[in-house]
Amino acid sequence: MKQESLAAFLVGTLSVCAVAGIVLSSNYWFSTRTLRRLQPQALASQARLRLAQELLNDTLEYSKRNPAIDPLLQSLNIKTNAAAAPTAPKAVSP
Amino acid sequence: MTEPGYPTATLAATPGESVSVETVNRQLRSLRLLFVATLLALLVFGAGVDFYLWYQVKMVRKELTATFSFLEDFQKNKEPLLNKLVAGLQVYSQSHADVKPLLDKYSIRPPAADAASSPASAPAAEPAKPAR
Repeated sequence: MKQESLAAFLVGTLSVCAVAGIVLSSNYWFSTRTLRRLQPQALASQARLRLAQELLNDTLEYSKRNPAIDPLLQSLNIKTNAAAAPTAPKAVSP
Repeated sequence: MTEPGYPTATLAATPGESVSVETVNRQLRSLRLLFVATLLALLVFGAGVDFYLWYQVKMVRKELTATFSFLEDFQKNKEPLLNKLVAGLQVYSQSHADVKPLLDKYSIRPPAADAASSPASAPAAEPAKPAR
């Protein structure tokens, strides 16, 4: 009798385990599918960002030779007006 | 074949048959034990598989969240800034010809070339918007 109730308990637990497995598998499948769909976009964005960073570096390099581009860079908050900003005074040590 | 209603009466007829009943009982007990042991083993295996799946789901979701936030940040903050920079450079190149090699390096066409299309062309191919 005791063994029968133990077997029944085990069968019940196993059923719960199987249902949890099905739910987790479907969740994993849907999540992976979404990730696979987004990954090419993320890669393209990363490549674009890298290219933009290179363009920005070249533009900043160009701005050293031709400061006429500075207003454009300042309007985009890419370059601050370093000349206008005074340097912080040194703290006086006691 | 023993009749189910009178097992002892028929089985206890000869001592040899009585021993066989004990054997059957013993075999039944061992079968029950085997069944419970198999159920336990299956339960342990199922729990292991469930744990593995749960961990995988956790990892994939983490990666998914990171990808979503990266794409969102790129499209909300970085892409408009990049487009503004490109548009500004295109306008700037009209008055300053020396910036044109820089634009050529990144395949940014001057605004006169693509005046019919959008005013600001990005340096690379447009990525598709993430469909959520």
